This record gives sequence, structure tokens and C-alpha cells, in this order.
Amino acid sequence: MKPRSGDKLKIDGIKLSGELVQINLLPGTDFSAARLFREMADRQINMPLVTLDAAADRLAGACCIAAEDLARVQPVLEAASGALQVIDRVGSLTVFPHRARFDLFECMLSGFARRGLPVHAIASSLAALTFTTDYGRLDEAAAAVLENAALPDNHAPFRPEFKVRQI
Amino acid sequence: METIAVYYESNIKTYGIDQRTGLSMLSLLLPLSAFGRENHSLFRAASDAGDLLLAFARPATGGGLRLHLLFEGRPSWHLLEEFSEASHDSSPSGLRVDAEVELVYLQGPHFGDRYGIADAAFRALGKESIPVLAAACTGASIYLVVPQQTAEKAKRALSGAFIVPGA
Repeated sequence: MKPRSGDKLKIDGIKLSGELVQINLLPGTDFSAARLFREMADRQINMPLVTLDAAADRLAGACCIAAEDLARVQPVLEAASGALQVIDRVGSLTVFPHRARFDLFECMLSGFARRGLPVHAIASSLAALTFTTDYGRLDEAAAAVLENAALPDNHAPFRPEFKVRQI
Repeated sequence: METIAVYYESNIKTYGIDQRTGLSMLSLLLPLSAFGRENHSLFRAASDAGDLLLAFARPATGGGLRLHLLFEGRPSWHLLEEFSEASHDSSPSGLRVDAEVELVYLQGPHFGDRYGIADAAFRALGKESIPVLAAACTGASIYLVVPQQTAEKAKRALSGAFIVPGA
């Protein structure tokens, strides 16, 4: 982004997650992404964020689950402790719309950097750009984004007030 | 007060399955120290490239992020030189270009709330031995980067695992 005084990027919304746990699938192990996804599905655990890339011919990356689901995935984490790494007390910040704007990506990255906010992972779609950071600093993360981006009048970052759970 | 709603969906519904071909994926290691640099040459090079489709990242071994940028078209030599220069003068490194990759993506009304979506997608592609080079999922979307000339096959494979109502 090329910030100009009084010239902020226009965005339509910021969504903050509940408390999450990030599970990193480390490169160079025999534990596959497909196996991780199967274990999650078998335990009926939703992953609201996934980012993966091929490293040394195996997919490595990260996924997030709700903090309340951690206990159910604990046996998998223990069995594959060399392949999976947990970052707890993580939260996600999602900005809408993304529309493949590199300036928005730069705005978020530089905003996080200015405040020393960690970036644990990034995922995007054509509609949304999501960063994960420390859960306890999500409000600060939203403030960092809003230093160079502007929501419409009468809009504010929001947290979902209810959750849909599949049985 | 949190309200929990419950629903049942015997087959996973999607709004549709789309594909894009003739893409390029640029990957590089972005150290934490590089995040805050204003007018970072990487950002200048990328914003000049235009046509960014996706940005996603996972934690890199040793710190920082392994960042992936998916662009429409083939990267120009000029862009690659800019990226290469950026990797030398501002410390991101490990630049890799995967030219001629393809993308298959789908959105679903409940993807953000239900478990088993990534598992279903990876199972469907695995059954047809279609390799996944990278993946990014956030909100209600799944984006899968696949090798050249496999998006059509991937789309057909996913069509067996996801239902498009009315199609």
C-alpha cells in the first residue's frame, strides 16, 4: 500500500474470531495433510482456516480449530508430535472484501508489523483475507488495520455472537 | 448468550466448482524483520504485477512466513527480476516460481461451519491421484492449486464429492 494522508483503503467489514488453536503441519514428516484432514473429520472438528503448500513433495502448512475442540484432537497431536506443532490462544482477523488487492495485503502486513503483532498464518479467497495472530491481541490487530483502511460509516469490527455446529 | 443451531446435510452442497488456468505461483520466505518495511521492494514489485488472485502463508521453519502469491498469467521476466532483486536487497529469500499452475475452487453455504469439507476434497482428488500443490481455505471457500492440465480433471473429481443443487 502507498499510504497517503487522509487516503485510506476502503473495506466493507472486519470479522474477529473466537479463540482458536493453530495446528502447524511441519515440512519433512511422514504425516500427510490428507491424514490430518481425515482425523479432523472423524472427530467432527471444523477447520475454519487452512493454508498448505508443497514442501519437499509433501504438503506442509497450518489449520485452525476452535479452542474448545482441542481436547478431542489431543490423541492425534500426541501420536504425531514430531509432525504437528500447536500454537494455542490464536485468533483470526478477516477483512472483506479482498478482491485480490495487493495493497490490502500490504496494509495488513505492515499494520501488524508496526504494532509488533505476530502473524501465525495467512489465508485468502477472492472475498476475504485472513490473518491469524494472538487471540488476546485481536482488538489491537483490528486497530492496526484501521490505521490504513476505513470501514463504512456505522460499521465496526465484529465478533460472531452465535455458532453453527454440524452434528 | 451463545446459541447453537443444528442442521443435517447428507451430501455436501456447493454453490459451484470453478477453475482457472494459466496461473503462476510465486513463493518466498518472508522473515519477520521484513514485515514492517515501508515501500518494501517486494511489495512494489508485486503491486506492479497486478492480477493477484490469492495470498496465503504458513509459518516457515526457523521463523517468518513462507508466503505464496498466486497471479493470473505468466510472470514477466521483468517481474521475476524485481522479485529476485527484492529477495537480495530486502532479505526475503527462497524465491520459487511455479509457472503454469491451475486453480480449482468451490464455495459452499455451510463450508465455514461444518467439518469434513477439506477431507472430502482431498479424498476426491486423492482417489484420482491428482496432486495438490497448495491450498487456502477461509470462510466458506476452498482454493486448491494443482499442476498444469489437471484442473479439469480435479473439477470432475470434486463433482463426485460435492453436490450443486439443480445442476
